[in-house]
Amino acid sequence: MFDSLSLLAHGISNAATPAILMAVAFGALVGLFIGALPGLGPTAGVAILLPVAVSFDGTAAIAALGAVYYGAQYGGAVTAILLGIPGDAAATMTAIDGHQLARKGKAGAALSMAIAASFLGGLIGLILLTLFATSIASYAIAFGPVEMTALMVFSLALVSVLGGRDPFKSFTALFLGVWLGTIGLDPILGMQRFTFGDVRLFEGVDFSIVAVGLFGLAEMFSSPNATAESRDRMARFRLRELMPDFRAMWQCRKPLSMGAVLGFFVGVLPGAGATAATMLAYATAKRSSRTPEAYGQGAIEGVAAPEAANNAASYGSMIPMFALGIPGSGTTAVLMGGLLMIGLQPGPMLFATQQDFVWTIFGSFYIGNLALVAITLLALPLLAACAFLKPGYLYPAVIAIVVYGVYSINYSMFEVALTVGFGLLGFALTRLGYPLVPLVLGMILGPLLERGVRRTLVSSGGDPRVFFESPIALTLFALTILLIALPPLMRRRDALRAARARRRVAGEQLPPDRLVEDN
Amino acid sequence: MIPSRVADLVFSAMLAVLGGYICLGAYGLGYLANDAPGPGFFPLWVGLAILGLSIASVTRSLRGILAPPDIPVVDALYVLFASGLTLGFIALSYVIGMLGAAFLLMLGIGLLFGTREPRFIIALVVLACAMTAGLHLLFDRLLGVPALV
Repeated sequence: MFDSLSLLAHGISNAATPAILMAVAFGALVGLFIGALPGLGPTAGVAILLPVAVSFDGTAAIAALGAVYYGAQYGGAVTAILLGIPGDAAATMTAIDGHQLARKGKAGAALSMAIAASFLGGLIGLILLTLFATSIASYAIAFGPVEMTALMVFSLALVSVLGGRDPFKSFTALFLGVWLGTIGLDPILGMQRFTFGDVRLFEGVDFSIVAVGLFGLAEMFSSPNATAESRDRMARFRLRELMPDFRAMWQCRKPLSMGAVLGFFVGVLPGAGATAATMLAYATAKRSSRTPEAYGQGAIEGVAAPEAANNAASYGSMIPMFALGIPGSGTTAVLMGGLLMIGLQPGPMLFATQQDFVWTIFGSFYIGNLALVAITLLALPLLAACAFLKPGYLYPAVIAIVVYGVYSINYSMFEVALTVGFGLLGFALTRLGYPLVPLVLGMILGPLLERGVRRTLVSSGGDPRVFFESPIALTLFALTILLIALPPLMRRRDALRAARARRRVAGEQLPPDRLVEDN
Repeated sequence: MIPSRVADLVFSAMLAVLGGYICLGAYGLGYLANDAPGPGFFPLWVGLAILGLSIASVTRSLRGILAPPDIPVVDALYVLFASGLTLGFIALSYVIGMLGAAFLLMLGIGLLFGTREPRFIIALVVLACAMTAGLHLLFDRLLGVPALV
């Protein structure tokens, strides 16, 4: 533990350089505004900034992308409270009581609570991240190529939890992503695969192009009226009402701390995500409250618990990504793409070979979390105005940054055109019920899995039994089977229960003589 | 409204064709090389999976299982116009340079998603000018990106 603390102190001092501080401030500001804009979530924010950020120095790039992620958790609450429209999915629970408070003229109290809860939740999440990340990584370091292959299979199976309600479409999206990952030169023999002989595809399709197209353009262009309907509510709030209420902060200490701890541990679970964490935190706070009836009517605790939870969850979700190389959510999948783009392989070895990098990034998280309080307070009037921004002003600015950002990756207009293509694909996939996260998961993990399988089989002379000789690999394979088999089994059980309940209701409605016949 | 069932059917059929193409391409690459998986090993399984799942999706959409809501034509048109404008930006960049093309792209996107009232158009032009200057400063000057001129 003392090792972690001294490494963290070293990391914070490394992160306190002008370049990283600028990157963190830039990322936090972008995240704050992205989070505040309805329709654009942290995944879209990280994806949009990805091409710009990778042109920074490696550590600064990831510090900026991380700041977008946790900055968006701060920003999401602004729209949720002022408009009742969550800026992102993780702010949904905040909207319930936050907007009720705003309607009662207590927008300032709700917003200041959201900031305080975001900061304290984030801080608790960061402390837990500091304590747990190293120990998880030190266990995971025992993983060889066989275990890593099994881990990749397990991660890909996460699609059953990260995907949508249709498993067929989730797995189709996953395999589509895996195929996209195979485009380019074969990693072992160097043969061209699906490049159509085009030199520009030899290096494969850049991940940020896919991410920007799928999450940025598709999401933005397909919701043209996302903010329009809320404009008439703007007049109800004045900026001078947005004053902090410190007494309420003390009143909320219990739901806040409970939300943070719960949020962190839910965030660690791959696939659970910040939204699930906020729901659990809100439900727990309500259950343990002396006045549960106040929840939903404008309870300040109903803002504190979910806001602490979503910020803590954003740091919790970094653990599987950094320590194991498993992206547990859409945003961490895009973030992991950023790590790969700057030439770093997330996983247990990252802690051994890139110790300085990891702790500098963790240090930047502490700085960013603190800086966000000041940035949010200063930017609050602008954020409130931004929440009412028309798509006619917002989209031109974002699209200009996107096209320039994508072009700047390889100075290629071909890649800008590809981004547009992925935007169209993203629109079609979303509207037809194909979830996008499995596609991203497949594109990132597919090439790693292929390399692992082929290298292991080359070294074992083509004998696949090598995969079943390791107890860790066997456990992971068993978990994979469980992960895939459980959701359909549970759905079947629920359907059977529902059918039985329907039959029981129908039976109660039948005349007594008919009931005897049926029995 | 675009009936999602028809769109789903067409999309699944296109995915099935893609799956078939991947299988054929993978077969040509070679399944095995030196008694170990070759360059076509992984894509072949991926292609088969896409083919199988797409065929399942075709039959499921024919039976109307889990059909998504219909797609409003206006939403599809917005996406198509916005994509067309971005492709127009690419073509124009080679003629008038990236900054000029980006300025026009912003105007186009703004007019597409905005109210098209005189006050809005004036504000949009101001925003596009400011953004163009910002792009020049950030990408050309600060990051040294060699933009098309």
